Amino acid sequence: MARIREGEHAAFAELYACHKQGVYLYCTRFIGYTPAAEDIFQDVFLNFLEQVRNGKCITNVKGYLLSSAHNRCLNWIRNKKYPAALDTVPEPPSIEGLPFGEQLDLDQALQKLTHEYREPLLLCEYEGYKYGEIAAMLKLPVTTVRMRIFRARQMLRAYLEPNKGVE
Amino acid sequence: MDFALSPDEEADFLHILSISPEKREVFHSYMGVRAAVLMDMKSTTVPTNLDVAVLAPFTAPVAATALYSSSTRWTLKHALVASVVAMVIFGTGFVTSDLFHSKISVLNGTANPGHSVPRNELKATHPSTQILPQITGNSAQRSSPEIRTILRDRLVYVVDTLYKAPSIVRVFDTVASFIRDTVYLAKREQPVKTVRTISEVHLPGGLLPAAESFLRKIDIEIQREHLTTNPYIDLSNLGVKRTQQNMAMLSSYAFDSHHAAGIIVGQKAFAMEYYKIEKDSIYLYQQQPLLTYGGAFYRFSLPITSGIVPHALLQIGGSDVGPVFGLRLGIKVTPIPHFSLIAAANESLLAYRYKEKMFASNSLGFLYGINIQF
Repeated sequence: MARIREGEHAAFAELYACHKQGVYLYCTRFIGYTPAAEDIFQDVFLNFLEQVRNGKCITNVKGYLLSSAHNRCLNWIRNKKYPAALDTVPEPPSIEGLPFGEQLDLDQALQKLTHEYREPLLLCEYEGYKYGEIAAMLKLPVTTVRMRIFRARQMLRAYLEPNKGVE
Repeated sequence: MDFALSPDEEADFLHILSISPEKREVFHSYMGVRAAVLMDMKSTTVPTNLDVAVLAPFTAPVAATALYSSSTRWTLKHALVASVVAMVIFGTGFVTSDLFHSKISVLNGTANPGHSVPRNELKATHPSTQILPQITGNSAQRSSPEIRTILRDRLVYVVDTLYKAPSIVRVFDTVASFIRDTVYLAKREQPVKTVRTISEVHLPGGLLPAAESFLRKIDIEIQREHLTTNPYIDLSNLGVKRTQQNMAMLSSYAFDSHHAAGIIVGQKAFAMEYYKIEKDSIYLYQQQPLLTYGGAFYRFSLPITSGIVPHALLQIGGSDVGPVFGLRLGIKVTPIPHFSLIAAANESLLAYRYKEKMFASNSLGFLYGINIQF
């Protein structure tokens, strides 16, 4: 942090190289709209740089970046796609309602999920966080996180392999 | 599915999978989703335009630093080249001037210090010197007059009162003379033009001439002062000796025989009186502390004769209590080289503050000490 604060290019480039893949995947898979995701990706790192230069001490860099990406993605979704209230958890879509034989790719399947299911799944599968860590980040009970990830996996499995039933 | 099973739980889980084909199928499906996620992670890379956009804040200063570095290197390169050229020119000039001077006719003299030697008494002693030809003879031959420029220098020993080592002063006379080699015309040399240049040359010694010259201008003085002003309080009742050890040490650098400057450190007793008004009472304080002070001084000397030098010294400094100013009028007697005795009258003034009021204390004393010159 001190080296970045002093303007050392190599330090920031090293940190950026470590975390850019994870943040980029999270933004693109969360929003599903690449141009907006890239804007948010850029904002996340530039905001991080500004905070460090202003003297803010950040111990958990990955957590800070993902939290910043999470908030920005939610703001984008709130302003662009979902005008309805987000505090209610909608019922998962009926797996049986899918047309027989329609197979989606992973990106399409993820976009089929609502963001309440998509977000914990991304944090678990893409970022490698444990259920407890995800619960702390999203400020949800661990059981809720476990349930949502379970349901999200079920739905993904149904979208990716529609010929197979759901247990 | 977050790979956080304990060994016992993992054993149970594997047992369940081993006995249930349906659960195995579900597990394989979940692992398929996992594999798809891993494939997605592997195949996705951050576009380079995003890398450029994020790292852009660092690229501009790097370019400016590079530009500054290149300009600094160019300036340094210029400075190095100029230094080398200057050294070559200086060295060439130094060598050629030395060769030039060695060919000049030098007349050496051994006159008494402080006097220049008449030309007809000069005697050449330097191996490279030659005596200028005298115009003699009664030749009746006449020859066309020739004009010859003679560069003549005379070595004159001068002893300065300030610099104990003798200094050699070389006087260069440039003479354009009209010389006839016939006595018939009986014309003496007639200087047409004289240009005199004087350069000071020091005798070679053990030290470098510059360092030796610098050290010769430094002197150290130790002095003691006997105060004549009486303190306000009765020191004898307090068991304090009236005469306190007022001493100081000075070190000065002489710019020439008249002007010198230096630093002084010492201790002196000042009779201090101050007061404060509190409620309906006036509190009057009297004390005579021995203050340590330091400062700088300027000294003007007026040598009137060898060994006796009146001088005036103006001093400004400070102590823990406040600033200290001083004026000294005295005389320095030098009975033996490098060693002098000082006797002077010294007036000092101390300014101090108490309770937002300024007070002053002055002292007049007789000062004596020794001065050592290098």
